[in-house]
Amino acid sequence: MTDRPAPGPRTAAACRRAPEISCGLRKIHRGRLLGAIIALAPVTAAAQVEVEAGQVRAEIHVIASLDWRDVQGHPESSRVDLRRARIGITGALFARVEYEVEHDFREADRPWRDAFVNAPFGRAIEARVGRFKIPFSLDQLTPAAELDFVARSLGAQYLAPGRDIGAMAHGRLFARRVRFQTGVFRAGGDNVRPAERRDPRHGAVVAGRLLYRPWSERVEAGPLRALAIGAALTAGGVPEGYYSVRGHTAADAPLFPEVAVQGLRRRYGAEIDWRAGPLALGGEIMRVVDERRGQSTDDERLPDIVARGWYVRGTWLATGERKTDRVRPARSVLRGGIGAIELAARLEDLALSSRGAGGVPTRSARGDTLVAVGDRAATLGVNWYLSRFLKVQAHTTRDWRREDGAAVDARRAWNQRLRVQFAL
Amino acid sequence: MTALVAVLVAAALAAPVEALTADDLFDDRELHDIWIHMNARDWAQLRATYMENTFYPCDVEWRGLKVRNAGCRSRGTGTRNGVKPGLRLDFNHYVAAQELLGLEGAVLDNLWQDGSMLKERLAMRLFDHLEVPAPRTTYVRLYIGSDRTYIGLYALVEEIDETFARRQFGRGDGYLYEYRWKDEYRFEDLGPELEPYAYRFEPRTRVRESMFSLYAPIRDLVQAINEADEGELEAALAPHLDLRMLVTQLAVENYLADWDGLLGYAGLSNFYLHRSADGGPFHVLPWDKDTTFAWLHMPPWHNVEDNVLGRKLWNDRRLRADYLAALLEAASAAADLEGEALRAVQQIHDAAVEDPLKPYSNEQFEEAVADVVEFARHRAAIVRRFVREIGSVADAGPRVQRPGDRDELPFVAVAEGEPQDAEHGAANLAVRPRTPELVQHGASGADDELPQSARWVRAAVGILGRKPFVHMIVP
Repeated sequence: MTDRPAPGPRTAAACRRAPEISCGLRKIHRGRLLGAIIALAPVTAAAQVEVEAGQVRAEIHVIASLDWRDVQGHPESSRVDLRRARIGITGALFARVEYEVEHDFREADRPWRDAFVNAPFGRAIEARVGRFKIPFSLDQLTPAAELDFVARSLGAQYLAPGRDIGAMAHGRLFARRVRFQTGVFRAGGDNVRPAERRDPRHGAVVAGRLLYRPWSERVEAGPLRALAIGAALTAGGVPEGYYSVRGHTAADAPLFPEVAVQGLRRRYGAEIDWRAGPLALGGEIMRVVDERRGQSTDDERLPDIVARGWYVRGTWLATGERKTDRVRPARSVLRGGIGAIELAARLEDLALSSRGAGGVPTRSARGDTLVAVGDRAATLGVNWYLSRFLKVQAHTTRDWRREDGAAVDARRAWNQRLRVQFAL
Repeated sequence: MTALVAVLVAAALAAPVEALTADDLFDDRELHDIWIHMNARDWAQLRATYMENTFYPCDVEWRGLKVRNAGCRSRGTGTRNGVKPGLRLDFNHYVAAQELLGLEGAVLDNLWQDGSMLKERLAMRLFDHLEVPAPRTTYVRLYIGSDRTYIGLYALVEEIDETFARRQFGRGDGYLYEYRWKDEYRFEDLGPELEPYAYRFEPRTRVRESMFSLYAPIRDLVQAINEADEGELEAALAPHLDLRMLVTQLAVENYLADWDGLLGYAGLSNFYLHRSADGGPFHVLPWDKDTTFAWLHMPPWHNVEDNVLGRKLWNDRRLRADYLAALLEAASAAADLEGEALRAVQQIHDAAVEDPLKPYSNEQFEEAVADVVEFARHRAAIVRRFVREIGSVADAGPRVQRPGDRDELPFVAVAEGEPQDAEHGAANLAVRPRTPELVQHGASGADDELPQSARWVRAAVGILGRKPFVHMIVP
């Protein structure tokens, strides 16, 4: 009933079916690839590709990250993967219309990630059309190259909708203190279960996100100038099927059961983000409510199911740099320095339950009272920015899984991740 | 006075209603109604993908008692189909430790291969009369869905599980295995490795135990059967097998002319093994007896020579005598078999006639009932005559029906109706009495030489695992 296999060694047959680079790594020494990434960094950094020809401007972006992970008690999970191998082009046409396309060579099913055009309408409003992220969840909307943690928060991974084809109006109002994004999308995003993604009956989703920086223009607010708070929601129909939202633990074990749903899916989210010098704090809370119309064993409506996620996180640049989206080390290793070193911590939770009380909790996909499940995880880590383009992240996560309020399955308690990432 | 009456009435109302038990559920003196509440989409999916063992959530209701969030899946081998699916109910599939009247699960037999719908019930009753541990069976009208659609007459069969073992053997913590028919196997020695046994015997309890503790005792049993010297079988098997119970079971199966049991046409079939947790001998338990009542004049030692254990048992004078005595005992126990058949018919007749999904017409139902009743009426005399006659020719051994003697087999497998789909072919495979007008086609011909119906049968045979004898007719 899982839609994603638990981590495990890839067999030779599996490699033949889906020849990812991680399979190829069996044949070559993985350390060589790591060395190659590090060695190439200064070369590529010096050779950023930006082309301008008449009314067309194009800038090439590359991101490659090599991950190692180890899950306690599961030695078979210890492996190295080329997590990302993307190339993208951003630019502008006729000075007004911006565009972006990005291709991931690791993704066999959906290699094209972003593909959209963006054009301004007046001073405050822009319109975007194409395939891009549905505006929900700060963590989900953060570009891969700018993530402070090896893995996004569980809520962002599983409760946020991800990308889809749509049209969105967005812009900044009230002296740029308010940023808005609102759009209509073809379906429910690519974070939903694969069967739901493929279901042609899926209805459109509307989404909106509002971000407010109350003191962004007020110098006297001091550090609070960088405070941003936001809220987001999405709403859309979900066709009948075992299409409840996905959810895995921090150690990637299946957590949420497949539950039969039908009706409206609503997502609510709230976020806060604050930066002051080398320090950054933030958090999100999100909730997904799925209706279950006609899903009981008597074809009647069942209580809604609710998936919840939250996290709080903090990072601190111990080497004193100012926290920005893309950290720039004051003394890059390429120039004989030590780079920038950042400490990171996050506490998060992901849970699923049904609304309404009473009845014996069940694992049935049509149970009125579901067995409540959840996973709480704490992550600590160090980010080492060797240069603007290259960083190494070493993070460890401890998670506590629960069912019906009781702790279960402590076998996957700890997991370690190491990432080497090059982003141009 | 009014107050006194009120108190008495209240006391009467508050008096505990007699608690229902599993015995009430399996009370075969009445025709039960079971209502399975299942989402319409799930029911359609279960029927569409009936070859899969996917569980679907359901609520099971009987006499106002409702088990919520039970699991329900398609079941069966030869009877598996998407028209009137056989069903397995698992009460604790989604809710830990949930039971219905102490039962963890139950089987709803779709009576698909038995035109009379009587055989399972009558066979299990006869096993029970002769104290062979057999699952309880009763008839139910089965209703499905929120609109309570009647989908037909089923037999509710007790599952052979820990609860069954506790009822029959006093303890439920023993080893239980279901024999899975894979090929023609007749207790030949499979060698010292355990895998060939694991291939055939699926554990139903203690599933997490080691290969050795699960299968070494079965291997030892088979080796003991093969290595036992003539005349020493009983002593050699005493630590491994409850031979007395087995002799009775073989006698009942052959009394009932079961062509797909321990001495079945394709080798061993349709049984469970049970062994106490403390060790001790295995008990062989009968299962799925809808292929009984097949042949009124079948010699009651049919196929006995083809099976290693059957042959050794037959060659042991004392055990053969026990076997013949068990046959006579079965004949005595079946004295009222005809009466039981008639009572069962009376009980189910209307429900069977109204059964909208049965794979045979009402006329065929009536004919099949008449055949069973005739069998029940005459079989005892025929078996007694066989036993009397064998006394004079015992030393020469029985005349054994060989698998190749197909013309003498009284039944044929018939592909009926259109295939449900190209892959699964003739799901409507049924066993019918042989009649002269049936045109037979050998199963050995090349596909393109066979009529389409024959290919469906062959496809079904491939799926159902029925290899050695298949006779087909052109619809």
